[in-house]
Amino acid sequence: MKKDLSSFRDRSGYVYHDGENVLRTIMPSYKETWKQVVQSGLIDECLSDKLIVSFEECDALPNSWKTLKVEPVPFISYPYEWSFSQIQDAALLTLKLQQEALAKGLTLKDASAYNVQFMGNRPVFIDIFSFEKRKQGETWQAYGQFCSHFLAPLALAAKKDLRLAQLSRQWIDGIPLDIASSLLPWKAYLNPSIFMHLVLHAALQKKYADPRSFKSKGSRNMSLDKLQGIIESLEDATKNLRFPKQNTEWGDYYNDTNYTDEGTAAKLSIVESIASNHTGKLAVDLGANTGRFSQPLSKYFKTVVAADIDPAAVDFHYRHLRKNGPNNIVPLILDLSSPSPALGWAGEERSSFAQRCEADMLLALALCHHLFFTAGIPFTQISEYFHSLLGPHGVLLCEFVPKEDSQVQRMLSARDDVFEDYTLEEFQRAFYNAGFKELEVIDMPDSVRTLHVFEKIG
Amino acid sequence: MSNASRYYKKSFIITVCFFSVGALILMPHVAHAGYLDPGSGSTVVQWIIASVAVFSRIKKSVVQSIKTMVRK
Repeated sequence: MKKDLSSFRDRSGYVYHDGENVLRTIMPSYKETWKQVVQSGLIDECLSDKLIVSFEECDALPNSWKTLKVEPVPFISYPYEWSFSQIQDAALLTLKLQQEALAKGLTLKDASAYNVQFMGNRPVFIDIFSFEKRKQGETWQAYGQFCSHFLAPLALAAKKDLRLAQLSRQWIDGIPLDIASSLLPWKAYLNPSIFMHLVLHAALQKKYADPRSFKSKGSRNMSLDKLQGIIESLEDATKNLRFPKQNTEWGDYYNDTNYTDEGTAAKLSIVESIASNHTGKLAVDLGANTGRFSQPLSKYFKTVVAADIDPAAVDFHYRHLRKNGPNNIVPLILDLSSPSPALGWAGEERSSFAQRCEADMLLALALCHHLFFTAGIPFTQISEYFHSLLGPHGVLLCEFVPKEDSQVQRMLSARDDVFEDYTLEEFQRAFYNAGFKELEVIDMPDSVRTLHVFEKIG
Repeated sequence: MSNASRYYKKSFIITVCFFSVGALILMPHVAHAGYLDPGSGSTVVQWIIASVAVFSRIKKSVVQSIKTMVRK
């Protein structure tokens, strides 16, 4: 039994991991509130609409009033790994829950983006103890948190640059609104929602930074109607922020490869064939772009993580999955040359990508040459990192792109070729030394490339 | 810039200023008991937005009523 390292702020209950089981304790201090929340019917409604994680009661852990066994999330992801539409959907889910809670005399006591996780292509609210009874006249105490966790990254991505949404990695408790306001272009200030929820909000936060300067001026209460108006305003602001038209490095990748249609079809068939012989729980497609090769994996693995550096490609993939499925692929933004580190309190509140990843299969198609030439990462480091992402006996499909390949030629065209260690022999040696056994080498049709199937042995 | 968009921006700025001043004058103090610090600035801006939201709702309702009357 291990306590979740991110579960310490809210004293209502704590999260524990017991093998693959996830347990949530309810502390005696939250007993009456939880009874009110359940009696209101909110939990049943949210469960039937699949807005929150499902749970069942189990034997209470010591010191807790009750313990719930909750549905585990197949792969924990963080807001700085989500694309624009994923953040938007997570924000709208939070607001929908707040509206439903308000209608039942309840409220969300926090609006952290970390309360939402993705079960495939569907956002789900996991912090079921975030609900509490609303005190009459109270404003929404999580309003500021919502703006910095959701609205600020969305506005920055929509109005300035898609990549700015990843500032959430620097500020894991939400992008400070003064920073968000100062980064927004002046034209964005003309948008009434952005002006009020971010710019004016930031100015007033500065003005009232010292709570002693905030004095009571009357006894008016915030009516339910007004509070619902605020949530509606946030919903409008969130919905009206559109995915920007922005060309990115990898946005047009599949139209810019040197594979023919036949070659691509053959590659898909090879990947599917290998996947069908090595089924498991988790497959991770690194450098997945818009997920063309993640799709065949989804038939043989319970969950597929499709990670890519390009926020536009990941967003396109997510929107495609939301519309067409399959629903067990989680697209995420990941820069492999600097993957998500462990962050937060004591450097362990949010786990690194490698700490969260224990894949049964790893796909690295047309990836190593980019890491090697663009990011300057030698095969030794690449193979060791891939090794750390796999579970015991995990399988790695890794494509080797030789120097004769036109893509590598293009990468080397503007620089001296000082990469003497970029050979097939060095590539294979690095993977053997990292603890892999080569199961198979496949010549890719219509190409000079080879696909190497490795098994983790060490 | 068209006259209509100038008028829109001017109305917007006047509305926000009006309600900002109003909300600041009538500001109540409501203590929060949760573990999250709601921030005084965030509380103040909610009063302003609530006022604007109510104003927008009234405006929408008046416009809707006029439209209904004209149709009759």
